[in-house]
Amino acid sequence: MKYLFLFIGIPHLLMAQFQDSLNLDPVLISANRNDELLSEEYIEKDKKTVQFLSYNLGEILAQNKGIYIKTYGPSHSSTPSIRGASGNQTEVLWNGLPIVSPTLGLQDLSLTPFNFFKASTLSKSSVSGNGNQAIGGSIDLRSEFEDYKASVDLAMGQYGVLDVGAAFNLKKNKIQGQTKIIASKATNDFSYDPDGLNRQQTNAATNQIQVLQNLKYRLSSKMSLGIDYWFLTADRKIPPTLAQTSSEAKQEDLSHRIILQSRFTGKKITLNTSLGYFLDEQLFQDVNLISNIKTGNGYFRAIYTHDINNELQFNYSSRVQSIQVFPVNEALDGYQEWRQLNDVALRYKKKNFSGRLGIKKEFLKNQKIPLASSLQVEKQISKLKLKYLLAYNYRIPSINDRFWKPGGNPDLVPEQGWSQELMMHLNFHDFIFSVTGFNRKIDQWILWSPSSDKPWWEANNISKVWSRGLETSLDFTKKLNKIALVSTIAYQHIRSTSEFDLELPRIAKGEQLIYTPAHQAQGSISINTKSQTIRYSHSFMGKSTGINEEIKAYQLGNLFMSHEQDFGIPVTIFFNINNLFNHQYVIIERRPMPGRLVKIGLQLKLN
Amino acid sequence: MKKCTWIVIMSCLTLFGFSQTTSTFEELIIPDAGFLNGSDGSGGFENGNVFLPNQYDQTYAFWSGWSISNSTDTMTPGFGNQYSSISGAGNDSENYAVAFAGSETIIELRGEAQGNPVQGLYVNNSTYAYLSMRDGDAFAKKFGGIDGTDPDYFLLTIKKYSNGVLSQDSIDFFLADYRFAEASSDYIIEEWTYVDLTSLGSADSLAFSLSSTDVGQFGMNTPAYFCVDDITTADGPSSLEQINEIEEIELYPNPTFDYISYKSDDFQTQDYEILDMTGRIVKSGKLSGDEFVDIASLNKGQYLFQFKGLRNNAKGLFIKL
Repeated sequence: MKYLFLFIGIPHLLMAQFQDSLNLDPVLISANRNDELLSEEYIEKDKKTVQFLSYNLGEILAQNKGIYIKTYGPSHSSTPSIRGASGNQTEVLWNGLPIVSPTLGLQDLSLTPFNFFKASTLSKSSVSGNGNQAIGGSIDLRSEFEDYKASVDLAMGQYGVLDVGAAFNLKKNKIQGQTKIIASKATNDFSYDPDGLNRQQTNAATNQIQVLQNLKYRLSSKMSLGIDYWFLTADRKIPPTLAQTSSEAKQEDLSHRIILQSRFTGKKITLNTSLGYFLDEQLFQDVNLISNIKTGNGYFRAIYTHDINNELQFNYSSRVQSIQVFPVNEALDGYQEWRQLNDVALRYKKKNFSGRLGIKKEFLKNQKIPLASSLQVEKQISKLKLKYLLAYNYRIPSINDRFWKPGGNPDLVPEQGWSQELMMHLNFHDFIFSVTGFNRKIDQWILWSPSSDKPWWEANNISKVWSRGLETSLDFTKKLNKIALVSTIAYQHIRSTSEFDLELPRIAKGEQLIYTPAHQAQGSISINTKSQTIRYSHSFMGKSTGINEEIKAYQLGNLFMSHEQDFGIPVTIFFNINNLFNHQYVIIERRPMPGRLVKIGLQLKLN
Repeated sequence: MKKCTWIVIMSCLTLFGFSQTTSTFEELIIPDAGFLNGSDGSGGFENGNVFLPNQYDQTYAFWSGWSISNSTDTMTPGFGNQYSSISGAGNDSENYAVAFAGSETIIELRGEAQGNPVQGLYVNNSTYAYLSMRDGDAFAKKFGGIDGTDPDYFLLTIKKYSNGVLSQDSIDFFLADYRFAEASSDYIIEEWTYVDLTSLGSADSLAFSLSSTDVGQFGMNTPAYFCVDDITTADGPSSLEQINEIEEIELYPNPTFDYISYKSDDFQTQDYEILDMTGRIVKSGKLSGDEFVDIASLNKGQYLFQFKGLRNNAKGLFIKL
């Protein structure tokens, strides 16, 4: 496996929005694990720095280039926007199976602990083979066993932040087990002053407990069985908006997710099968209002891989999915549907050239789902690497889009369209320069908007969206005796515009979509020794528009320091100041974010 | 309020001697739930000489247009309390009508009221809209902003349909207005308030629409609800006999801006009253035939001038411009 270190000490875009994000350990994004798609990037944590279990996926991805994390506040709902796509156009998978809510079409990244998963991949591309709503990229969380025996985490910060985590790993003979537990809470009663009126956040407390259990039994050198179980319970109060005096809203989330896996590895073939069931329940309550959604998602997936020769590999995967909506909400009848997905791919790799051709076809009653396809090629020329991707993909409308009462539209067709991207990575001396251009047109874009002839909102395929842009970065790494100096600067320009004039929402042809900053930039510098780290990062997020008003541009500075001391057991302590300059800002309109935030913590790790 | 056209004014001159009907909705029987929302498929509510259309979607259990309510909840915010008026009752009564006016909402005039002017009606905020404007909610802003300086308003615009044509003239009524220089003058209507509709003139139906300064990319954020009660219609001459019993006096100038007098050879001093079209006395006094009555302070609209005492039945209509 050859990693390409695109970022080291990645900047901390939007870091201040999270109470426990506070300059996370640098994230390494390395490209192309052998068994992954060419366009995927392998997200790995820097093992030298603190890896608290409570860090959530939204916090991690907020540091990434070209991903805009829309969050309602610390520990509150977070969804990704990749290259101008909306949150429900990004697929999130756990061990290859989608965990996005089939009703909402979203996965709340603030309830997805990043460090539960040792190996995770990110694809910003609209490639096929990544679930059924990946036109806005995909994130695949992989449960793999850690290489340490146990760890205990404790972190405290302002506004009642308290995170406790523990992990245990056991390996004996043919059995390997792993348990990870986190419990986090915060009052989030920070002060904010976006308009000259000093106020304090109310009704914003959050609590969550999550447990991950992985078991693996090796039957033979070729055959293994595994069970993965993920439990989540969260209770979050929802604070008032800037235009609201108070709020009594709250949300409760409960999930049980289990996957049984088998893996057979022959000389030239591998066969992986997965049987999964995800039970998710979400309860929203406000004054005189209760909304409950409960779904059960069942999967069976088989992946067959055949190495035809040293250069050519054939993949076939088939997945059957059963989606069940329980009748617990007047707005959503009990409902069940079956989907069947077939994905065929050919991979070729020879010396400095590799390629992948994939075709995907999915079947769902009463839905005309297009054939998806993708072509990816990659060429290494000395220190220059070039990649090209061409893909046609789709997103099936969510259950809510089709059946919510009122306004759901059973006649919706999948969003679909072509995308291309060209990447170039140049490695010279201590520098890595990277530039990526992308172009994507999605037709049949689904939007909810006030109906012209009915007294409610309804979902329709009403637009075509053209997203294009440029992502650049320059990374520098230099080792001087026992000190490593790491810095990066990056800039992204994204245009995501409607191809039509729309009345509601009021969007003119060529106008930038809401919550899509055209300009983003990040920079960071860190100095690392064997036992110490000090890092400063700075990020800029350009202005964008919300539904009602403009979202002002903002800049955030973050300072992180850590020290590791061996007391027989390695102990790492860290100190973090997030939003160092106490900037007042919002990411979602009318949803204030905290100013300067201090957090300290420690981690004991038994190797 | 926009100016009525001269044609409308002239047509108003023929109103002399009209009887009135007030739709109070008290005769409508409201179940324990506290509202009638059209779930019975009735398509609307008839009371007095008006019909309030209702559209009810049986599939989604969703209504629009009008509902009839006696809900008393003035405290609970949110959509779940969409049937309440902020005063917790009708206009000195129990029942009232609630409009969900996401788009134009109509009141049809029926029977003798059709083709005649509507005198007026009482208007109030719904609890849902009132609390949303007062406190803000997850979607809509607190009016005035947090510091109270935003020049917000929530406006009810009333027009008429006559012979199928929507009038350009309208009557504007601010359900909330935060545009005053002095913040203490800002208000959100929380009591039943009379709106005089006589200047609209003869109508077949009334058209109501809402607008707000709190508007986003998806339209108005302020909940599109308001309440009405006691709709008073002019129902045409009550009977020939009644008309014959009335001595008509000729008022001049008519229409008029500032003053009014009458043509008569009788210069005896008499008590007089000026009534608006709901029957309220807006001015009274004594005068003889050669005096003028100052009416500059009256609102624009149509009024009834009548004598008390010796000439109790002498009446005349005039238009205040």
